[in-house]
Amino acid sequence: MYGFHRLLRSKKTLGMLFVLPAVVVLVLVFIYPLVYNADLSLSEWNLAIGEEKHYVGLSNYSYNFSDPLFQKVLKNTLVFTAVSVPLEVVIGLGLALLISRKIRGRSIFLAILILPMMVAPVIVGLTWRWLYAWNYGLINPLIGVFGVGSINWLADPSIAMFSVIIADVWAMAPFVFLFCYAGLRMVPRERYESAEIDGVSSWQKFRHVTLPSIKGILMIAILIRAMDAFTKLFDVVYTLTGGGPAYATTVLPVYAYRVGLKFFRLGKGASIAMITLVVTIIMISIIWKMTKR
Amino acid sequence: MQIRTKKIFGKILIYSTILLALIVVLLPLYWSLSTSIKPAGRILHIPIEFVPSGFTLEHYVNIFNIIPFSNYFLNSAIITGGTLLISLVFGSIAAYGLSRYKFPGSSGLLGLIIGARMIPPIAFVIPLFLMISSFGLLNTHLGVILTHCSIVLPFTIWIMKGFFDELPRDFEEAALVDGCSRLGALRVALRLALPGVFVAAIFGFIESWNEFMFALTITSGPASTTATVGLVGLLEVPYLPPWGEIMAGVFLFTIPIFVLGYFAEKYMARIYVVGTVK
Repeated sequence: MYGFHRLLRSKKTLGMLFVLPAVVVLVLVFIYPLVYNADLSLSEWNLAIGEEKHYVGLSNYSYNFSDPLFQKVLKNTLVFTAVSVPLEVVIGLGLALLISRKIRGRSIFLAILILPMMVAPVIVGLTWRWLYAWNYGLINPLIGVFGVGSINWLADPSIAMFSVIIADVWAMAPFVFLFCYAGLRMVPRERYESAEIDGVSSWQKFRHVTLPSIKGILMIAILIRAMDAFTKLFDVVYTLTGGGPAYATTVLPVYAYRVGLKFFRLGKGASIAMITLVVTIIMISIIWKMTKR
Repeated sequence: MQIRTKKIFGKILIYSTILLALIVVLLPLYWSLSTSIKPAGRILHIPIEFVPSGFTLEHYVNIFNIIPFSNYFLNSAIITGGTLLISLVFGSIAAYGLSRYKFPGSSGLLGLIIGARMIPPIAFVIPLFLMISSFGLLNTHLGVILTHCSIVLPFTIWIMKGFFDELPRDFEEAALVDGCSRLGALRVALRLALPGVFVAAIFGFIESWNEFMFALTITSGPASTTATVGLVGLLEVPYLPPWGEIMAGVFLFTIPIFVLGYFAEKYMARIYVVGTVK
């Protein structure tokens, strides 16, 4: 009993004691699985044919990079990231600039604009699938009003990816918006006041006062969105298109899941998942460096 | 005069752009809601009915008949509750430890917790499936709860640490002087950080309730399937998905999230923005 009390009086051990339960859970459900995934990616293990696990070195990786399907998936992921993130940034930043002006009803606008952030990605997918429905959805009749012919949003391989992007922008632009809005509120008023005394135009004010002030926070928002777009897009694609038609909307996480947990080629699936992890780690280290400054 | 017109014109431009954004945000939600209350014959109708010509709650009844939606809903509630219980208890103690004590590995642990928020779930879902399966926990609530802890626990620690960091230490030190043990000091701090516990609970709830991929991997059948997986399963109904029922389910599922979101709104910027930037 005496020893226990002395242990509790030592600050170091006490701190460790406090984090111990959480660390045990995290090792079990997070850290060990991450290591196990790296191990799996170096092995061949096809559960569907009852194969035993055996190590094959880096051959899963070399197979992936020479596989035309994997290359297509990688290209899809890049297209998705390269189109959706800039759209989200332009819309999010634009709206944040408008909302942070002196306007009436700001709090109600704010509450509505961030609504999509809370909607489950699965629900986003279901909702947009119904909006895109060929005859019965809302979108085709809506664009018909403007004289645009009906579009086969989800079944046309050349269009499906853009349909996914539109749904994702609807869901995620509010995230960038919230980031920028919070950033704009942190800009000290005096900076604007001194600019106003100098009598500069609104564009100059944006270019020389606003943008430099929120550059840091904007960059972080862009990096986080780019990272998530590249490595976390799953629910929306799964519910909207299932990755089709003809793999047109299959992105890295969807592909890794399909190979690993639908066809149970565990090693191959793990190697694709591992590639998303490497991209994530690179992005995290960039974000880390930026926030340290 | 000219400046004045320019100003009014600018105001109109600002408000109409905001109005457009509000319409774009609300239109999909309106379309799902209106579908859920339209009589069946009006849903698959050409031309579409933007304003429903009839009103019915039959889809809200049917969803409980065509799939065991009450089971799914209950499963989601149990899984979210279990995830919150583990994450809040272990997470707030750990956050307190990280906020108040420096020990070997504490900064590494902190970095890991920040990083954990960014690691994509796909990077460890395959091994988690194998592990849960070897524990014999496939198709159980506990199996899904464990997977959800991988997301919610680091999130909780991060949120709670922020709250503890802002808490002045005077009260705890006073408690220590009064002869309280260090655990007594923790109790004092926890009571003061109660708003933080609520905020962490709300955001943890949203994460676990909305989660899909892990639940899809671990569950099957009415005993463990969550509401998200159950609703997506409706897409596999032959010929045409029952959109009225799906949208009724979507609304029943989303109501708790919107209610919580209403209370959490003022914390959104703090949790999602400051949390990542700080």
